[in-house]
Amino acid sequence: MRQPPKYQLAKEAITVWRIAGMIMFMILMIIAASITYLVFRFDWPRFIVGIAASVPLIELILHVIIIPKIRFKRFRYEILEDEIYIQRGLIIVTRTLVPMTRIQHVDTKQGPILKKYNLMTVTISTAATTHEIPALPSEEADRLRNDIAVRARVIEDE
Amino acid sequence: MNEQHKLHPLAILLFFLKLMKDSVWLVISGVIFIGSSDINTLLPERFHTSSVIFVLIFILVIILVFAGISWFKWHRFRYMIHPDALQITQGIIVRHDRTIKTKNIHSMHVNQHIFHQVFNLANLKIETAGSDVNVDGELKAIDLELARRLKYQFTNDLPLGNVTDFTPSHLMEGDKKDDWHSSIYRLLAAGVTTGRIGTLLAIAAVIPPELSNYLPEDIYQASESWVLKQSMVVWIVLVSVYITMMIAVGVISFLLKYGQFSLHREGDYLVVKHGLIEKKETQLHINRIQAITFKQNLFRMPFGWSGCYVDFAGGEFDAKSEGRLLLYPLLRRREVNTFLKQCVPEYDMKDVKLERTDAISYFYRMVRFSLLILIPSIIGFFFYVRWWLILAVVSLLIGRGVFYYLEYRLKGYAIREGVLRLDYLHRFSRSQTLVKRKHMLELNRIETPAMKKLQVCHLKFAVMNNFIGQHFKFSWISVLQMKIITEWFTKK
Repeated sequence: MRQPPKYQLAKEAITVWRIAGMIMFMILMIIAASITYLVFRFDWPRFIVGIAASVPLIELILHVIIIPKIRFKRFRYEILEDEIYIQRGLIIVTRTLVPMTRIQHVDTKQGPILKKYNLMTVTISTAATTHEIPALPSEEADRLRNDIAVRARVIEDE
Repeated sequence: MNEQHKLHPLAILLFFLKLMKDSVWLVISGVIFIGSSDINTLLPERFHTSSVIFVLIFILVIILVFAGISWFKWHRFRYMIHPDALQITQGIIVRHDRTIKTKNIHSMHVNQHIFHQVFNLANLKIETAGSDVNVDGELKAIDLELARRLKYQFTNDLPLGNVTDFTPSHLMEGDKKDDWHSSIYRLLAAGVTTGRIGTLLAIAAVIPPELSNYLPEDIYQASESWVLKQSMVVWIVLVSVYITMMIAVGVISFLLKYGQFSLHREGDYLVVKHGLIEKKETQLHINRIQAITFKQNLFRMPFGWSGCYVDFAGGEFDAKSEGRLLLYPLLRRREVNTFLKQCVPEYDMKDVKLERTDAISYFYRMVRFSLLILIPSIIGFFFYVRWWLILAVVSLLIGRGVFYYLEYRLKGYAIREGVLRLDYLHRFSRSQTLVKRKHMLELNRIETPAMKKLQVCHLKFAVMNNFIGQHFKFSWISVLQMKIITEWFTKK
């Protein structure tokens, strides 16, 4: 395949993923705390505490410290004349080419964290697969969505 | 022919059977409920009887109600044939009147169940873009000849109205010359080598130990002690009889499903007919074909026999098939090209040279595999070493090497205009896939850091079908070849 796609996601994406990781970490911490309480209350084997504590810790290391940076570095996208070009992955890198004519619909969505940073996720669906461009600036996402819709339609009409 | 028709009364039976089939759990739970609860307490003394009677009464009532519903359904069902549409009116209380325009019909299927064959009738299924059975039309029992004619008219873009003044037998004879009929020997060969035999053998291995749970203790023990007393020869004979029986079961079920297999092309449609008990006739528009795959499993590889499958999209009732249809059960190697030319000339790939993939990745994988096996086993050998363990490791490595060589020899791709041909090994089956550019939904290139160094990558793409899509992976090709395929894919 040709050169990797040109554009990167918005820089805030890392922060967003980290916040999401932190939230997950906290939820896991609460679960771990309740498990610890139960272990001492009912005198279960102590190694359960170790497992319960290590899960959130691994989550913290992976999803807050390591993964967001690599993910950001790897993820690239480009909207070309006739196709959408996406690169994603952590260790295994996948590059995908989706021709405009095969696109069935384009969705944008925004959760509370993304909203705070004024970002959006664009989802591109074909008849059998879906591809996501996470964390684009809202205006760009809207523009992209409309752009794809128009181009897909134009090519369809030809 | 602009008049209302009723279905053949056989439809009552078919409606009834379908109702029974759909509500069998309801009936069973009803029976269990009635059988287990004490109804006598609710009744005056002189009606008291055993619960078996109540269950029988319940079943009788259910049968009567279902029979009544079926009769009503049949009684209220009308269909009309217009020149450019089919109109179906049905419903017991709420009347549904549906007109299906011919141009919206995707395909028609003529199926003959065993009941149909007795009265020379057929079931006509009409598929439209919606894949919902309730939205599409189905004529449960109509004259076979009428069904055939309707289908023929539809296939050849003729007005449906003329079905009466039409002589099908003569015209249909003309198409027969390119028919692909499967002889019984071919079907037998296909049945013996089908992948299901492996599954059946696995089941065969599981059954004997399971029997101890179901058979009465003494019988099982008596037969077990009898078996243990026999000589080696008797054992071998018994085991081979058992295995032969399982294979026979597989072959017979295959024959029942695919017996009298025939395939021919009518205009833009492929018509597949098969089945001994239930005769199935499937009609597939060429444009609905997303990919064609020739598959040779391990049993068939030495003979060069392959089964032909198509992935298709749009309107199919059968959820089990998941959008893959057996187009032809068994083809010899030299027949494949003729087959393509006659049945799907759009995909004909004769005279195109197959491009090999790079050998480097196989060396890499062999080294990777060897290290993965050798390092732990060498460490292990420091503590415990036996000659047969070493032999096992060595034969594992040799086996893997042979496998990689086979894969390398089989793998290749070719491009001709809008069609891509991929030859590869997939789950120990030699596969050849033909796919048109316009049906490939996307193109993925996958690589790991090590692959980047070696300048190789995987190619993955998907085509549409009725389920989640069919994904194809063509792995370990060089970056250069990937580039060629990408350029072909993005070319207008």
